[in-house]
Amino acid sequence: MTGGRLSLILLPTLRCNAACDYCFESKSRDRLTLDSLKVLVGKVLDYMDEKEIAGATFYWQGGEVMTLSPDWLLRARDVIGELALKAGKEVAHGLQSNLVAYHGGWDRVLHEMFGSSTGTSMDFPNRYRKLQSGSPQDYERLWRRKAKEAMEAGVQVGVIAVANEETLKQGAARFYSYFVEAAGVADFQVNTPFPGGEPTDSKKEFPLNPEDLIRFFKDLADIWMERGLSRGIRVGPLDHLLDYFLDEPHVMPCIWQENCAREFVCVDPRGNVAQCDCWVASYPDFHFGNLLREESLGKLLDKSPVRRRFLERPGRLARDDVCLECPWLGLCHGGCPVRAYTVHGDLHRRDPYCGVYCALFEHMEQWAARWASRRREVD
Amino acid sequence: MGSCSFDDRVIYNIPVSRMEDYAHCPVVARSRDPRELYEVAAGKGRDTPLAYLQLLDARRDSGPLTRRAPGVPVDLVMGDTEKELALLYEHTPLTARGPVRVTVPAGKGFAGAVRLATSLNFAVKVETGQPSSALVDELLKILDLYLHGATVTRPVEFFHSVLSGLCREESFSLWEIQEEDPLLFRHVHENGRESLAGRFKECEEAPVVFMERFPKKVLEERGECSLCEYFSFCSGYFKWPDGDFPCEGVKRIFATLREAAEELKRDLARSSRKQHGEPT
Repeated sequence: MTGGRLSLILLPTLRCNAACDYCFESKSRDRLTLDSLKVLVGKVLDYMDEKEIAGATFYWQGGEVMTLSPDWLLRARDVIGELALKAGKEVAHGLQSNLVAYHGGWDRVLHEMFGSSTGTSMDFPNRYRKLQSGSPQDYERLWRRKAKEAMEAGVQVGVIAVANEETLKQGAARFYSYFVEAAGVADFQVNTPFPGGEPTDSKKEFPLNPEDLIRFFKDLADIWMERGLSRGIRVGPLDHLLDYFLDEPHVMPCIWQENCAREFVCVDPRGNVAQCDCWVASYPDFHFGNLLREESLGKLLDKSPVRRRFLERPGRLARDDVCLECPWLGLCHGGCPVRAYTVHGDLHRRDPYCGVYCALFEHMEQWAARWASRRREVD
Repeated sequence: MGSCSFDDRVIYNIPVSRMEDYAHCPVVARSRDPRELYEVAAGKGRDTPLAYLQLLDARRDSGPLTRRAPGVPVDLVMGDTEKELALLYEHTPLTARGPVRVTVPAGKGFAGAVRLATSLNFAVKVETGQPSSALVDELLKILDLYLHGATVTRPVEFFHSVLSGLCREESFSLWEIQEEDPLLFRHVHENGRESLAGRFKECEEAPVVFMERFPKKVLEERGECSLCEYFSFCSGYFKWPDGDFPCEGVKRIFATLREAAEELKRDLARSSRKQHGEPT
């Protein structure tokens, strides 16, 4: 994180208004105070100065951010803005919310603070997302209504969908239709599930069967390429891969970044710092340190033996595992540490979805070649 | 002016301790210490730009160089490629400030280092020396990766420049590509002695004399070179230090590159005809 842009995942609260069966976070009532926020942000800005980083993006996640009040968010934005201005730094904000508590009172926050966009989450079919009481169907109905209201208020809604066994059984066509045609979403991303956090019955089905998941991803890619791409529909991670193979500007999802430990860091409301939200709320042994207690973020990161293990992971995989022989090493770098750890119990193992990724890379490379050829024909 | 016999065509590879002597010459500044190189890059008073900074120890923390002046290229020289392989990830932040090349000596484990370096978007230069048949096989695998690997986006030398030269049908020299042309590159030792560059740096011969004498010598003495279709750009590059080195393996590499260049030329011609509405 020198010279580029700092990505900070900020969890202002660990409180959540949902009770999803497969959540990897251990919830609590902890929430960040504005005084603590000032301290944290001050140290983040000092770190940016030290590393000559001109700008940062704060990714607000939870818990559930909308369990805080819109007014608190606006005050937090002002606090950060004033500190950043004094430090001569630029800070942008991104939001991930389940939208359950969304109402018109959030519109000012969404438009002014988050650039009229938010990320949210829904699966198809929804098996695990629930409110504190009620069924997955109740949750889905509520989410559909809230997402529609937000879109009608001019907010761009991007969706993260976590695939499950039923997703694979129902197939890519129904999955695609649900999001694009039924929910009216133009930008969604498919994530692979992992058994993070406290064990539950739901997590026993993770990781998903690789053959089924490969078939699903390939079918989804075919549907999207034929029906969605020219209409401006974005489907991650397929769109990122297409851009990559077409040599267009692209940003890879975090699971395929060269070394996520160099790309971003996460802070929870207690000041705990960890690699990302997947680690900070459920794996205290994997905390890098506490930013409210430590003198500086730079020192905290530099002296953390846990962060060193993360930093060393892709290099160790290249040296000790089969990754060096893989034609896709430059795209994947061994994949996601939390997926590896939660499945294998070992940070220094390959992502359990390795075979799925390889098949997907190959499929999208072929699609990119066909697409480029079609474009040449048209030109 | 310092002690360099200034020739603006020549790039001098100098230890950082000799920077003042070469303030008016194009130089590659070399050191095992990233801090020293950082200070060189930050230094004022140079008439000519640095060609690049050469970090001679891949085990060192290159952190200081992540803050070098923007655009200054860095050449990271690997020693024991097997032991240093995993460390390449540590050096990726260097690319944020400017181009980075990894120089890999062809030896045990070098192919893995090249694979990883290309995966990390580093340019690569392979120091081939006189490759054994086993190394030629490895080089051919690396060449295949360079030519066809979907994730390889940066040059791998000498493949890249030879392919480019063959494609453009321009005159080019392997000696220059490998930065060992005695007329263009010099090595300056710690004690200030100037010599030939790269693997020739321990030669006592004057650069101009060497470059006049050596190609003639291999042509006269080695029938293989006089009949070789690649002599125009190779000029006996692989016939040193062992003049009897058999070039069959190296020729396989050149033949693969020539084939790729022909294919590329055909594709470009077809594309050009298409653009002009001609039948393809």
